[in-house]
Amino acid sequence: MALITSNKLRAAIAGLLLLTAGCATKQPSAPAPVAPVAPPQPPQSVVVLMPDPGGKPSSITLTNSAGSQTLTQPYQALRVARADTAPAPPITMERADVQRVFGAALDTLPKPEVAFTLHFSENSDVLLPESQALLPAIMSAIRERRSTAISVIGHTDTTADPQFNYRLGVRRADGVAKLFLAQGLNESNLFVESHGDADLLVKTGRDVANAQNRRVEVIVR
Amino acid sequence: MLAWKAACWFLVLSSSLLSLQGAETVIGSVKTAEGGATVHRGSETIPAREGFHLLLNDTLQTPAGGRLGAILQDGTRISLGPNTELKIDQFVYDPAAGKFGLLLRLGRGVMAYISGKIAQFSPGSATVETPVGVLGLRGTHIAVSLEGMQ
Repeated sequence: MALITSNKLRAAIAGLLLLTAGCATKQPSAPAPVAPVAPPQPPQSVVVLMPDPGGKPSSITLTNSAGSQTLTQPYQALRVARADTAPAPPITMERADVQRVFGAALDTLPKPEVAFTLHFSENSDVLLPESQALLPAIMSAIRERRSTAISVIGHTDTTADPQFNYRLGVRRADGVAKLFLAQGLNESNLFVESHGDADLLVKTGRDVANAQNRRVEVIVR
Repeated sequence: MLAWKAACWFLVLSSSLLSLQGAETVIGSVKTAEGGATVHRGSETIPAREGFHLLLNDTLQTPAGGRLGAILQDGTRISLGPNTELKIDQFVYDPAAGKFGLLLRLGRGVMAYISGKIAQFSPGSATVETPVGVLGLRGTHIAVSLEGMQ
């Protein structure tokens, strides 16, 4: 009963408001006071700095023909209407607003890539046993992500000359790639490279044997 | 120096790499595609699907209700909300040569980005261009919405 009464009351008030509005239009010489309406705002573009996944400091600078602003703190945001209007100083966005404005994109970000390192003995393209033992974990990462972009990158230490090392890196990477092909992976999803001795994990001079540098990186995306 | 470069090229060309990477170098792959997301390549419009390989100069597009998530070969992650258009204008990831660069062009809509190794190895080399200005990303995780705030 209470609900009906309240609905009736609302209808009555609505009717009254309509009547008043009708009166106002019929009497242009004496307009009823109109509540001030905010001028239409042009839609603004907005950029937000999200927390760094690794907690590292980060920043974004927006620059256009009218000015520049920089964001340095998580959840700080910049608003800008056009390329020829200066960006407004940063504001801090509420988490709920971030989700409302950017949620569809944020929720669609893929998982990060995962990297594995396999090791070899000196001047050899045969995997060390402990690295051989990592292969099932790599295969399950590939299947879990349904990855179609797997990089296999061969590296060497600085013994021997760069040309030889490039070729050794190729042999190491090719050998690992063949193990994946044998597991049924599609060749078009494997990206095999050699960096030779140009991308050392442990920086050394020339002619230094280093077990950490004798490796194949497998990156699953 | 030139002789050395020539030697390197000879090695690259004569190597026994399984995947020969020529003009059609794959720069990333689609991880999520929903609601009619497409990839525009030259005059072609290709329905985006999970696992699809992306090339330089591809334009990613979503209609109303569409979404697309992709990971680039340096580990950069990008995603598009509905009604969005994003072109991959530059992608240079060559750690052995110390060359890095990334330029994304957001035409409209809403995107999110988490940096990969390009930004890690070469801070300041990742940029997003938008109709309202250029974003220099020393940031690692950002989101942009064009005309998204009334």
